[in-house]
Amino acid sequence: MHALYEVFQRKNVTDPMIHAGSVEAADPRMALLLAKETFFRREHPAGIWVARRDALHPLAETDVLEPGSDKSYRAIEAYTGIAKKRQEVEEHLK
Amino acid sequence: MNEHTEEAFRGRVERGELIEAGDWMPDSYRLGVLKFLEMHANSEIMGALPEREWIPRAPTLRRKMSLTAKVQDEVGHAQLIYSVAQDLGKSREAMLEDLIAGKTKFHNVFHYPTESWGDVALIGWLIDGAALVTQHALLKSNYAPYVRILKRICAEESLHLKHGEDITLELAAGTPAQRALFQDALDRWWEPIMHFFGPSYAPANDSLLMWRFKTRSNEELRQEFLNRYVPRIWSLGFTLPDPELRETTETGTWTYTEPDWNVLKQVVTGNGPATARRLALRRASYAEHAWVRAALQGGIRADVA
Repeated sequence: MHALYEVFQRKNVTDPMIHAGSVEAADPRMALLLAKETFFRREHPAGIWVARRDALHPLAETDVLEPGSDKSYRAIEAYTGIAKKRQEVEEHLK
Repeated sequence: MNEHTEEAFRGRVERGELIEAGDWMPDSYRLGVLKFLEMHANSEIMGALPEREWIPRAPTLRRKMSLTAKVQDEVGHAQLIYSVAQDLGKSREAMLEDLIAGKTKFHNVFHYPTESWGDVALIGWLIDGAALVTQHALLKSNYAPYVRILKRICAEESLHLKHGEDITLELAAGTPAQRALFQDALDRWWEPIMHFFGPSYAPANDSLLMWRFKTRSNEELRQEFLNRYVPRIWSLGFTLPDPELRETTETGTWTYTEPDWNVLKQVVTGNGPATARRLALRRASYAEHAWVRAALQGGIRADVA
């Protein structure tokens, strides 16, 4: 009985796993072999994972990921220009 | 397949290989790394407390929200690190219980009271700055699961650093009273910051350096911190309470008055000025929230999801 497997890879051991695609296979070993031949003929990832698609649980209501209010203070962009601000303060204090 | 001997493991370390949780490793590596990770995780969760005290007293709504977000990040870091530590053989429950029983350590700087908004600025800029110096160095560690989460942690800490610097600049450009708040914070926090990196004589018997889990010595990290931050503190017109502090231009190294290491030892072994109060708070919240942990064990019921 064949099942769909999702394939994940990472470039270096310290990188997070990234989705590469999917393959249909009879078992996990076959899925790994097919993943290798399908996606990684040229690339040389540091690791591959396969997982049965029915073992993954995608979030259905992605709207909950939208911020309910202005959360710009959580972003690094909130502090763009801080180097300039520092220069101005230093200048002002001279 | 690698041989399960300390010698084979040493060979892997010397070839610069990265270690995974499932790999065979000698106890001295496993226990050393576990102790280090546990201390880091404890510090994140205890480090949220000094700043949390200032959320209700933040001067504006935006400062209140950004400080809340930062505290939330720190607790999130603790979750990430406890997960990595668990893989080395100690349960999260045991780690939290040892923390509140005072059996395990957390960073010295979180044993001190936060007395003013100037302390919030200082913690955000200089304590996070010191932590970031050490964490950046650990991105070169050989324990891969830790490196993976540290990448995320360092990215968030960079934001915290700017958050702290922004508050500092506001005080630096402010009224004499605002400037005095930050100067007072510097005067009180300078010694704990110098302690933070640990004594310079430690590396000789530091097994985590030998195993290449750590890549840089306490003194190298302290020097990097001093080099980056002291000129900035001075250029904002503030002073540091160490008359010996200066850069030797020929060598590029900083000289300073040797801090009293007995004070550090006292503080981290549970005798800091705010240790008892903070641990009592952590203990109380652990007890009060037992029902939350119990509820989470049940998962989400279909009828409430």
